[in-house]
Amino acid sequence: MTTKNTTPTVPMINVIAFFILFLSRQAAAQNNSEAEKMNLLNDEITKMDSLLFDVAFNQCDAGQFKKIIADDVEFYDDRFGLNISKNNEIKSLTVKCARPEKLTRKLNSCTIDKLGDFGAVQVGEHTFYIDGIPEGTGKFIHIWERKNNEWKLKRIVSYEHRGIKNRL
Amino acid sequence: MQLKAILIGVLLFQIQSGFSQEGKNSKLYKTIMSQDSLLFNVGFNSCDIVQFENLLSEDFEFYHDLDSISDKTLFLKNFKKGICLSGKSYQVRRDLIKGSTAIYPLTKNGVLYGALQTGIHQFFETSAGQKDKRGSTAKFTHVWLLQHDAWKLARSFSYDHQMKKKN
Repeated sequence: MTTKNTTPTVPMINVIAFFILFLSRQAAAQNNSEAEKMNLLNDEITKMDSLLFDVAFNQCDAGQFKKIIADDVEFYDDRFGLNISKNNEIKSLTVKCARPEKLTRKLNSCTIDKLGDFGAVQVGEHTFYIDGIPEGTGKFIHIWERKNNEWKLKRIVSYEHRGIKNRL
Repeated sequence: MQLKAILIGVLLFQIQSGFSQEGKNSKLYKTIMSQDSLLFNVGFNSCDIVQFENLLSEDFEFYHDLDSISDKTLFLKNFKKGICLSGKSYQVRRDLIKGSTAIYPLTKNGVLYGALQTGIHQFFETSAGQKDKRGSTAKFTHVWLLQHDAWKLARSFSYDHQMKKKN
């Protein structure tokens, strides 16, 4: 009799325990997938930043530059005005790369936030170097758009440029 | 060699002559803040659509992290049919978080053509006779452009919407 009475209660406790475990796992999985999505976005945009600057800009890879810049790019600069021509962007890279001195850019810091499923906002600060010597810093806002599984840089705001007075 | 020196000189000059954040008493700061007030305190908070029509550039673009990209027509349509739909039981109010705004000039060869405004805002649901209900908080970036001597909001990026925990 005793065994008959106790046996059903054990599975009941088990069922409840499993259920609680299941619920908490579900909640954790949801949080994890959100965090995973953000991590993935962070990795992707960080990689795009590196391709754009470490490869295209710093190493003068115009092909890479062309691939990343959106056809309808808009570049708002605090010193040189607004440029809405992709060709002009490519031209300024070519001009920069034809110069005898080497202008390079290093990312100092940035934040990355999602824009729905279609894009990302990257806000950051970078330093520009001439022949390896830091010359100036600036802040930037990049709007990235995912198109056919490829990231394109659609909007650029480049502002608060400050000189580093180590040469003067 | 001479050309190199000139090029470096020009480059250095350009880097040196960058523009930093506007002080709170500057003309540009006050101008953009008054535009912000027209846009939100008048336009948004009291559903004055005409303000929006006047303040947004014709090629306005709105990027929202929980929505998508909209142009001026779609933005105004959503605004009218959304938070400003008549007969709604509540209104939506936007407050700019104090001290969160920074304004930067955008120039071309020394001539001002626009301004960048960054900040954080907080939304509330309000209904008569009831305590305001806290909505989401979000970061925003606004690109204002001077068009025919008038300031127009051309690009708006609204992101990092978060619901604050209720106390």
